[in-house]
Amino acid sequence: MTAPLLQLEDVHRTYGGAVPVHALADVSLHIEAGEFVALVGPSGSGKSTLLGLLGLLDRPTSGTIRVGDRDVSRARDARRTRERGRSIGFVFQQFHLIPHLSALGNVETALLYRRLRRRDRRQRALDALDQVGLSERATHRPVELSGGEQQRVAIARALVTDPRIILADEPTGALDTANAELVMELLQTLPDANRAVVMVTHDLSLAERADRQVRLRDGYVVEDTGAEP
Amino acid sequence: MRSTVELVLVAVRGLFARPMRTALILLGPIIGVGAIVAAVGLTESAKGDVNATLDELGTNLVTVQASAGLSQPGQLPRLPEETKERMLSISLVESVSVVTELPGHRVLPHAAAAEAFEVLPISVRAADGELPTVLEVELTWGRWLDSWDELDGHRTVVLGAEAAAAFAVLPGEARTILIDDRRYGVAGVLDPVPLVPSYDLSVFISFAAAATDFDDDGGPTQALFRVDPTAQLRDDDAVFLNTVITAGGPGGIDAPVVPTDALEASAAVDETLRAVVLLMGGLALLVGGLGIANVMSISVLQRSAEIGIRRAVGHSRIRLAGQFLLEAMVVGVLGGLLGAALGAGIVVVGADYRDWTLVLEPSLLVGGALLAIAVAVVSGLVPAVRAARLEPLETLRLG
Repeated sequence: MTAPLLQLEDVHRTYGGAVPVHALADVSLHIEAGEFVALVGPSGSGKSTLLGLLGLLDRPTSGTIRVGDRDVSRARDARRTRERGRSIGFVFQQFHLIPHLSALGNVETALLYRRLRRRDRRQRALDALDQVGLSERATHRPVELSGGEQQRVAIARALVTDPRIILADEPTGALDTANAELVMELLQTLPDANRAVVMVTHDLSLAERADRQVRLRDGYVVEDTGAEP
Repeated sequence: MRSTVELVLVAVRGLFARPMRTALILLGPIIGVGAIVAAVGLTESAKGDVNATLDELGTNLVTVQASAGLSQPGQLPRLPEETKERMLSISLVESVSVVTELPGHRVLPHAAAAEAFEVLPISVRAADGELPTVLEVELTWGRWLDSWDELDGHRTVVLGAEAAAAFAVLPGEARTILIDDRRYGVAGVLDPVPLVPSYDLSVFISFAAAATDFDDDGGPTQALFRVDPTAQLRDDDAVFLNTVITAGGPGGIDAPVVPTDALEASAAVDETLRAVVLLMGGLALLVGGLGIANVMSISVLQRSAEIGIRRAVGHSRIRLAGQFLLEAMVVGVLGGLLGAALGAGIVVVGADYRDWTLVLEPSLLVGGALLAIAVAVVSGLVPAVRAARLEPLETLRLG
């Protein structure tokens, strides 16, 4: 059996200070290719902390994080950055597109500094925009796009590097119902033989549409519908 | 290499996403470098002009004037009549000319013009045959006073350039002018004398004519001489000259004057001005640098989401720092080039306006532009480091 895409073992994350805050305690989580995982829990439950760790934006206080078979728990920033660029795509609630770049430019940003030919980079970005149905809007700037379109550009940006894992943080949180539905449908198409999607949400109806729910409370995983028995 | 090109493009795009702000922070380096280039270029051009003039005139002309001791009532103080011979006995003196100023005479182009020319202060001077040689000045036309004039006291006159212009004397014209109603034939016109400007509004007659027509038989009022160009005049030379000229007799001379000193002094005044403008240019550049640092620090905060997302998609801290450093550098390059062009323009226009020899060293332009780049890069360091240190986890507001 191949290694999980992302693997957390006994992960703790404590924020320093005179009185340490245990943001995450004793979390073990395996994420396999093809899964669509929803992380749910009230605010303060440790969702953001977990997302930061899954996205290699942070290091655990103790425990192990593996991407494929590579242990990155203690990795320095430069290595985590490299690993992030290679394996992880992000989608944010607030889209976080770069305002002065076109849709195409925003998607291309994820492919910079990778020794790609300009033409190849552009083609890959166009393909990714095509995949989210926005190839017609490639030259538009974020202000010229609707919220739903902006979020789809952000998904194209996450997809263009062909990552193993896509981390979506409240991806429909800033969208109206119709656009939210469009984005959810798009996200549901993404898990495949090499890729998983992890979505953070507090919306239980959205979480129901994922094929696995991980519930957090006070820093602990209280329920994991996909956990091996 | 490819990554570097990409980084430069990212920086340029980031910079020109806000063209107005970029234009404003460009002003600092433009004004700074422009002022520095203009200050150096203009003073060099002015100095080049003074140097060219000094080369042409020679800095070894010295004039001495009789001091008040030997004066008769109604006359200017006089040097001894043997002044010329005595001075020529000094080995460092190469040539000598003596001149006597004859005050209180009226010079007119013709009798009917009395009213029109009454107030024009044209001086009458008696001079020897060597004056143009010692001054190194040519005649515009005609000839200088010679031994024929000197022998018989002929009424011949040579006009200074401005006097000739005032009397509308045409080149080669057979003309007479009136000195106290005595008719003098114009033998020639002297070119302008930059070292002794008062000669331009003078007319020159022979000593013999001065004696015959105006009863002047004293010594000269002034001696002009060229010294060995390698010799330096010292303070005690005045005493030495005084002794040689008076030979122990009564009277004396005022301190010798080197007319070109005034020109050199005018160039020295410009040095001070240049230092002030340089200082102001440096200040503008410094303030410009602070402006870049300030605006870019704010920009880093405003663009924290952009920085976060770039870090999230795998851009390293070094690339982020490089991106912002390059933005500052582009400001420096553009500001430096535009500033150097502005300064060069000021120098070209200024030198043309003042009729100066244009002196514009390419190294000055390159140096000015490099200075702007250096200031911009140093100013960009702090914002760049700040950008690199931002934690994506904090700027992206997860959850």
